[in-house]
Amino acid sequence: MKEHTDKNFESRLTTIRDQLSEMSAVVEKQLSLALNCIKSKDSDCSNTIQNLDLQVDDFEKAVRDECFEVLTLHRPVASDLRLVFTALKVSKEMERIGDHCRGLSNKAIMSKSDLDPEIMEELAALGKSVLSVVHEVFDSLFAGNQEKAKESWRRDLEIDKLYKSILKTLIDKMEKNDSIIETGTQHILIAKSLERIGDHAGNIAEEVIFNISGQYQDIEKIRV
Amino acid sequence: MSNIKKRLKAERRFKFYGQLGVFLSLLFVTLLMLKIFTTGSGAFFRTTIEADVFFDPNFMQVDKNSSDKEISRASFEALADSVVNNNFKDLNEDQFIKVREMFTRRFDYQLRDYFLDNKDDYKKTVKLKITASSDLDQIVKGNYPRNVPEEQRKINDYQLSILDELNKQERIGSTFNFWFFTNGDSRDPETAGIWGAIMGSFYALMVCLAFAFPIGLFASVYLEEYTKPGKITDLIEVNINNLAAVPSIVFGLLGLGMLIGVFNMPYQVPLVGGLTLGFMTLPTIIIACRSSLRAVPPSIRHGALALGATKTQTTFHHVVPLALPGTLTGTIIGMAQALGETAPLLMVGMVAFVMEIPGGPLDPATGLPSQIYLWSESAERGFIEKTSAGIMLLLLFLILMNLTAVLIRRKVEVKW
Amino acid sequence: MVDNNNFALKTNNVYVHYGNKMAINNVALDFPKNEVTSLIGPSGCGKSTFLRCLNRMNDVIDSCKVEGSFIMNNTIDIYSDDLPIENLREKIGMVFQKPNPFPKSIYENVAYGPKIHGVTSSQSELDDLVKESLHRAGLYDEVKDRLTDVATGLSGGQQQRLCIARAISIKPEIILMDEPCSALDPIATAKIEDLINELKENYTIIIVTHSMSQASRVSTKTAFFHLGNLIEEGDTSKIFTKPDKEQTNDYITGRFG
Repeated sequence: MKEHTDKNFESRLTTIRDQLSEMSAVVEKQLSLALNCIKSKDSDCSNTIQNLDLQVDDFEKAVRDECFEVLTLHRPVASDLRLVFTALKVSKEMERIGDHCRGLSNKAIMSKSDLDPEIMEELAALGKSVLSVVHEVFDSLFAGNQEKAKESWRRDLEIDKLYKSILKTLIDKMEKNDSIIETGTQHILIAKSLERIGDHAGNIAEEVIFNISGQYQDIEKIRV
Repeated sequence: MSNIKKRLKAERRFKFYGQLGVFLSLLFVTLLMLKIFTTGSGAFFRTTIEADVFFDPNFMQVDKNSSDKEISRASFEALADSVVNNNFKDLNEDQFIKVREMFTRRFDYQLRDYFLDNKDDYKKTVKLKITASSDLDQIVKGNYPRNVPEEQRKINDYQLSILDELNKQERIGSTFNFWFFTNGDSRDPETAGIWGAIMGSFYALMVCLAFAFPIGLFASVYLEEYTKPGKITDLIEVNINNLAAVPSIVFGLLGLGMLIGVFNMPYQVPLVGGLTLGFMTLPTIIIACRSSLRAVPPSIRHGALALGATKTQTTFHHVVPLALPGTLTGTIIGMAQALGETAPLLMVGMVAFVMEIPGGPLDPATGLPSQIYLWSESAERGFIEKTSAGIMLLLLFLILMNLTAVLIRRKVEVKW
Repeated sequence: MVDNNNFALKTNNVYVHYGNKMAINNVALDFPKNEVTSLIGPSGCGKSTFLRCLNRMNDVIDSCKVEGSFIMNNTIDIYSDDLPIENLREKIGMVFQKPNPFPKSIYENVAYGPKIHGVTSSQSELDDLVKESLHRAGLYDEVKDRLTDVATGLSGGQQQRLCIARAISIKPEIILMDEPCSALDPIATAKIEDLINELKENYTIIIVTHSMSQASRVSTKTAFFHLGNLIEEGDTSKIFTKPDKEQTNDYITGRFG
């Protein structure tokens, strides 16, 4: 694609892309740290995540404002319009992912470590899966790879399965053992947060497909 | 910064040259006008001698009951002689001739014209202002010097003494010379008029217009709207432009050779003169018309064509009406030029002494500039003021025609 | 969405040359009935040349040679010798870039077309036709008290609407518009665009525009020309969301290189 004749316009679009890119790096870092938090329950971990979250919020505002300027002043069409549209929606999804990371890290450090190792392993597996999907979907966004985005969307199913399995396990365990109800509940919520992060990644994938193809796809058709 | 002073100085200098030029031109024009006016204004007045006219039946062949036809045919010479005798008593033969000479040679015509309108004055005496002869007229106006020896004068001593006597009796007067505007040419300056020449020019110009305008208009329309650009069209255009610069006498030769020689048209008539002038004016009209047609923007043509108008409808409903004012301006200017041309008329004989007023384009006639030329060539002093008066009239017509062209142009500009 | 089976005009294998220079290179483009189709592209891309082929205005230019098939309503060959140009132009009208009313009265401007085609048979019929055309062009209320005033005294936007009234007075089927708003201010432009929206109920409209935003506002089908070639054509919303060709995307987003 050629460069815009209007250099001002071109630089604004570049700014939006760069901001999104940086934002995604911070969010991935947040998620990574949050997963560590679940294992280590270290309050330092949580503090770092809080600070990163502030950055993410700033990025989201910056992207939002820049996109609005472009809409007002440059009336974008076609690829530019899709870019702005996607940036607005994706930045929001990223911001929500960041919020979830913060939330789950808080719960992680507050909970006790008296759960079975198998459950913790399942939780870790879920976390790994989510991290991998988020990473893949961000790749697909910046590389403009529709296939990769579809793949990430499909893998959300996997995440849902893992979540359901952890949920069942935890409920079973809590039914049998009253003492772990508090911890168990907290870890359900942690798992839920991870599942929600997976959903947000799926939403981002949907936007990536729109950005590349110009059309919103039916989730059923993707998943088959 | 020094540059600006130089530039402003140059600006002021240029302005000064312009103003100087305008001033000098106006000065020369004013001087010219003054000269012509002072010389020519005399032509609008003629000297009269008041005399008692007794319509004596003894000297008249008709009476108050005679028909106009009879009166027109009758001779009033005898009556004229009797008037002279009645007003100047005891003249010997020589003196009689000299006094008679002081009156116009058309004395008898004047008496007849008066009688035609006043048949009831038969046998009555009336005081009439009889036109003086041209020589007397010129002496009275001061154009002939009085204090030179008699041999160098047109008026002899005896006539001068009569003149002085008449002056004492206050019988020498001046009247507005409307004959200048109503009469045709004459050998006597005092009765010569310009109407014949005006009518001659008028008929010639009418013929010129009727011939050159339609042909010029349609030729321009054809060349501009219908022909495709190419060598032949270019050739025609070059030729037309060159024709506009051809000396007018060449067109006179064309008239002589083709109209009179080949088509056997009559000599000396405004029809032929008009056609010759038409040949001459045609290139001017075509050039004016083509330039006006070109000035009509193509968007008008496109608008009409896009509505489904044919080429001819587009041309004649829209383009030509818009080009018409410009064409008319060019035509009027061409007519003004034609009015002032003498050379082409010379070749077809319209520069000649013609007394009768032409009744139509087929009567012998002369043109206005030709008349002026003829008068300027005359030996009689009385024609000098007539020449200048004729020039004044010619200039007036030219100014009027050009003014009309300017007014039409103004009107066009507002419309767009 | 465009009704794909109902075309007012179909063109195919169109080549146009000015002398030796090619202006249109093998264009095939169909125009849906009662829709607005816009032709966009940079200066010199041939969109105006192509438009002028449709009512044979290119015939006025000597060096211009037009080849190809132009079929109206599936039956009429526009370039057929059997169809007089004047009749063709009765069916396909044109509005030009710079408003060009005749320097006559407003009434005379609108009445000219019907008069020369002999459409009406009485003065009152003609009066009604003029009134109706002015109404349809959205101009009647503004000029009803001064129909005898000279047309060149109107504002630019009014003059253009007068030209539209003039074009529709002979009841064409197709109206061609060559950048009709480029000489007008934004308010006049907006009025004309609104008018185009109304007119499409009764006429097929083909509009050449150098304003992409106008094309997106006004048309349901857009065709992109470049250097005499038709690069892409399709539904306007698709062209402005995701055009198939990168060249199209570059042009409409402003990447002129």
